[in-house]
Amino acid sequence: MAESWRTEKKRPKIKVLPWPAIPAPTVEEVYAGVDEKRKEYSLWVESAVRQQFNADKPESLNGIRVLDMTTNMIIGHWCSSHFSELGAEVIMVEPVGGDPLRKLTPFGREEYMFTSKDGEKCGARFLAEARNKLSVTLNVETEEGRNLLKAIIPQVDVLIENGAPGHYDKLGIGYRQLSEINPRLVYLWVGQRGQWGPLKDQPGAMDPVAQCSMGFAHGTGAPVSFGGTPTRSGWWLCDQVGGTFAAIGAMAALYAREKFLGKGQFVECTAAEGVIRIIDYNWGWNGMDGSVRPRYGNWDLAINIYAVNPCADGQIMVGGGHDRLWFRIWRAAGKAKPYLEQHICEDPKLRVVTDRLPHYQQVETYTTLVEWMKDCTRFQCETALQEEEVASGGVSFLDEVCEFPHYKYRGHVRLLDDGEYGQVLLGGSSFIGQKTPGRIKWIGRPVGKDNEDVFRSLAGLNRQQLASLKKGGVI
Amino acid sequence: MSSPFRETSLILECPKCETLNYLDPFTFWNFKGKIKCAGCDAIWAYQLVNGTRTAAPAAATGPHDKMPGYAQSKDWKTITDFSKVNKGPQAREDFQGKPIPISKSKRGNPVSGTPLTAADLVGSRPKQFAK
Amino acid sequence: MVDKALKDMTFEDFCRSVFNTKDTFHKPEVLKGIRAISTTQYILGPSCAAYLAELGAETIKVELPKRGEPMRHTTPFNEPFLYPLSRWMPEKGTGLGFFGANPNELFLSLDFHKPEAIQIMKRLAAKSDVSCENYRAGTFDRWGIGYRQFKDLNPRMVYQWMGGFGGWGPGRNRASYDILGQAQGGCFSITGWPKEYGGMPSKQTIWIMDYWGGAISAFNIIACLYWRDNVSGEGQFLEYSQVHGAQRHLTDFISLYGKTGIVAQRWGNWEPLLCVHGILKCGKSSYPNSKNPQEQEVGFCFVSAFKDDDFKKLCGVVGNAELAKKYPTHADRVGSDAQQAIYPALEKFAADKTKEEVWAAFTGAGLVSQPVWNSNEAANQEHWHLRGSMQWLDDPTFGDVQTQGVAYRLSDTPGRIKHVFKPVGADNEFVLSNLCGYGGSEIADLEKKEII
Repeated sequence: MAESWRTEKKRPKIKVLPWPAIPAPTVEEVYAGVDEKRKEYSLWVESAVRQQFNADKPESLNGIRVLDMTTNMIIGHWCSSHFSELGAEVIMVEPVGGDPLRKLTPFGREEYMFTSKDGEKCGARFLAEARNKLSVTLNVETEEGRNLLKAIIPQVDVLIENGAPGHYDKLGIGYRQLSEINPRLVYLWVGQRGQWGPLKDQPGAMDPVAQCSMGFAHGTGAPVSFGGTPTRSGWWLCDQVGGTFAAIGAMAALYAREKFLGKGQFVECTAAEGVIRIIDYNWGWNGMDGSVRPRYGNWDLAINIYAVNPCADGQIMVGGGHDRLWFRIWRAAGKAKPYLEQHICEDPKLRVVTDRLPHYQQVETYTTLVEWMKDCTRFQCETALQEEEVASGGVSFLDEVCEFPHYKYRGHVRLLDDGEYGQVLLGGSSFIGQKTPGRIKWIGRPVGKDNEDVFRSLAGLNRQQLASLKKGGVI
Repeated sequence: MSSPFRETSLILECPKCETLNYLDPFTFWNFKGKIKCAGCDAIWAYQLVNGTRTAAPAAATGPHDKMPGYAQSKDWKTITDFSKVNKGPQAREDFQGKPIPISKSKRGNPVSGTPLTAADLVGSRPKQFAK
Repeated sequence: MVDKALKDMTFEDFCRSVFNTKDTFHKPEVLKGIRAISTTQYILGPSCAAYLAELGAETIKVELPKRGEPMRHTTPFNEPFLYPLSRWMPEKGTGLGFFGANPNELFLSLDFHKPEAIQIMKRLAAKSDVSCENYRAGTFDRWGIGYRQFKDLNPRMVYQWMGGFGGWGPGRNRASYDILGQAQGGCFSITGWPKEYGGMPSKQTIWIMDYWGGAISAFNIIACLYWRDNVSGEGQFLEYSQVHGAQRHLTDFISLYGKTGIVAQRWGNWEPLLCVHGILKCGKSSYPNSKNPQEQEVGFCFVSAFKDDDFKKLCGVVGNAELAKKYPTHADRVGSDAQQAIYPALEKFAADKTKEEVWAAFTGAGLVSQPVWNSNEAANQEHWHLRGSMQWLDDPTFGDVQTQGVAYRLSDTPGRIKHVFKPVGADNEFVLSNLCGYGGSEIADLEKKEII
């Protein structure tokens, strides 16, 4: 037996608090003492978009059917979550035995996994993005599996896959073949770096591949002079951003199909290119004079003040680059230490917005600012800065996020009463709208739970056929 | 006349030459060691715990452990010499923190990165990019 | 459907031909005929409108006269600018912070504090399909140009409000920026090195919560247009809260907290779910003679080998068979103690190599690997330029600029970049005469009164 990595014995038992530990504020508490006119607007928005009324409203993508055939990456699941939250019927097509992502849990700790009614365990990363989706299994490596897929394709609007470049095409279920069967099909391929182009044969895996291949990881973290190294994001950021762009692409294709095109099309989106699109000025800057974006830790290259700095009990974010906010921030600092405000306001180098941007001016600014903040807690800093209407907030850890009164009041964090997995704490849909808001109906399904329903209703399979497919390892 | 910066933690006012040495919170939030004043090269033993100094700077002898992130004199003269202050991150070797007039892109084509005069414009567009 | 010639191609040639960036402008645009007003600043709102503009919507960006929106005055370390800022201020430039959030738009300048401006806004609203707005919640309503007024003028309008905390709830008066989203959404707390390694929570250096929130909103807008045009005929009011979006990223961490009480922490360049799946430090710089300090840095290389076979291969490459014996299964490797033992052992192999050498060794053995490229190395990849996700653009105003392209590819109705942005008020005459019924002398008059 290998040396055991398991240090469970040493781990203290964590007492799980019921959520919410502190009840969400009531309407009266939230709007106490607010003048009528302002309150009237807030109450109007609240009544228009509050998520607890969602079930009374229609869904904008009702009637769209999406097959999510991606495995082993979050990008496809994240993308199909957009559709499922807005009411499309999303069917996750997993290989027999389920998506390998289901098995992943932090540090391999099984006690962190969620258990369905029939005792099947599923990791949280997968489960959180299986929201509102049905689960079927299908082995497309077999002839029968492919035939079954082709049989249901006429009834599908969007198909998402992330096979190796050209793999589905070779199997005879790529865009070229399926669009013959259903010309209205929107066929979406997602991946890390693309299915064509010089890098296509570099195998992709899960997220950090994309983070490293387009300059994100190099630009995140502290600079060498501060003792830092390139840093990857703690979550699968490129997959999630890429998934959102993939969803825009597929949605645009659906819109075009209905509006004027009359047919579906081939769509492709990758995790790396999602972040290439949004990595602000990197390419423009590099194109002008060959500059290479350096890391700048928790400060910002292009805005001063716009940073996260340490304070007495953690870290605090404060932002406000242009003059109005700049002076308000110093006014907040000056209430406690007037000489700091005076020093900054007198400094001739800091009078013009853009003159504050060079590195040494940023050092001067933040060192002076922290000279005030080091004596205050996150809450004290936040309160002082918000009195001046400056954007500011402490760095929150997960427990603080889940207990944040604003989130609890608005339903951003809420308990889902799931039929399979019981009470699950969850981030609510971020599609907030008046008439067709997003919603979460269930958290996910055990592997192949909906095989029978889906294949009966879409392919007309009977009991016998289902049993034989199951026996043959096709579903 | 006593300066309020005598008592500050992250801004080390040199007791000798009154230069303000900025000890950026990135590097110095928790620190124990010797700092070289960027103004007069005096070495000061200094300790910071969560950004707060434990005692006034004490004279010490070299070598120093760290240089301040930035420094300036009382009459706003900047000290940005790499031998005096910690080197900042740079996107290029000739990095200067001032708008750089750029008339050619990386691949040698004209680009409008140079200040224009009203005469250079047709409406909102430059008449030409480079001289 | 695919014609015969395309059917016989190899798959890669087929992709190259249907996604060919040279054909982009010969294909129709998805949102042709959709008009969007963007009364937005910074990144969150503008980027949302920009994604619609990439798809062909006629997007009108409304900003303050002369100096424009604050983002024009942000640029890395005060160095690069594109000139002019506006025809009134030719000697001033637009900073690169404006890049990427405003392509393809028409630029109208308008001072909302003047009553004529409200009139112009109403005329625009009557003819528009989408409005993106990110002023403080309720401000536009007070000025008479909010959703409640617009819906009477134009019931088909999809009105997207975007901002930090939303227009209701305890935090409704708080302002927000990208990093506030990252901070209060909890994203900071799980990125960076753990305390034991001397680390602090670290932000994602790019303005991710702004750009990504804009994308979520753009998806919702297109979905609502779909619903409007195919089902109901109605527009509606949408709200996007940035801190909510940030926190939506972390759904599984939230579920874990709810179930186990675990407050997820940072795990540096490694991966809590998988091992080996992390970034290794390589000991040598790839460009030791470069003058650029960024290129003098030592390299880093990502490697993934979490399957048992792959891990064996990896141990073979680094010449540490002991390791393979010690941690034969994924369950043995993925624990925190094991990770802390495995990665340093792997880094010993990389200690005297550049990232390219490490990359070559790993990919040679059939492993998934990727060097950590800086922005110059990424920009030099033919791959991204060929695919159109990066491109050199002959911008009508600013000349030869390298810019990001559209993130996704569509074979029949691709998005496209026409210009990166324009100076403040560049399209005043066009918009006002085309859509608002103003004549030449009236426009000159508006300009004199500093309304535009």
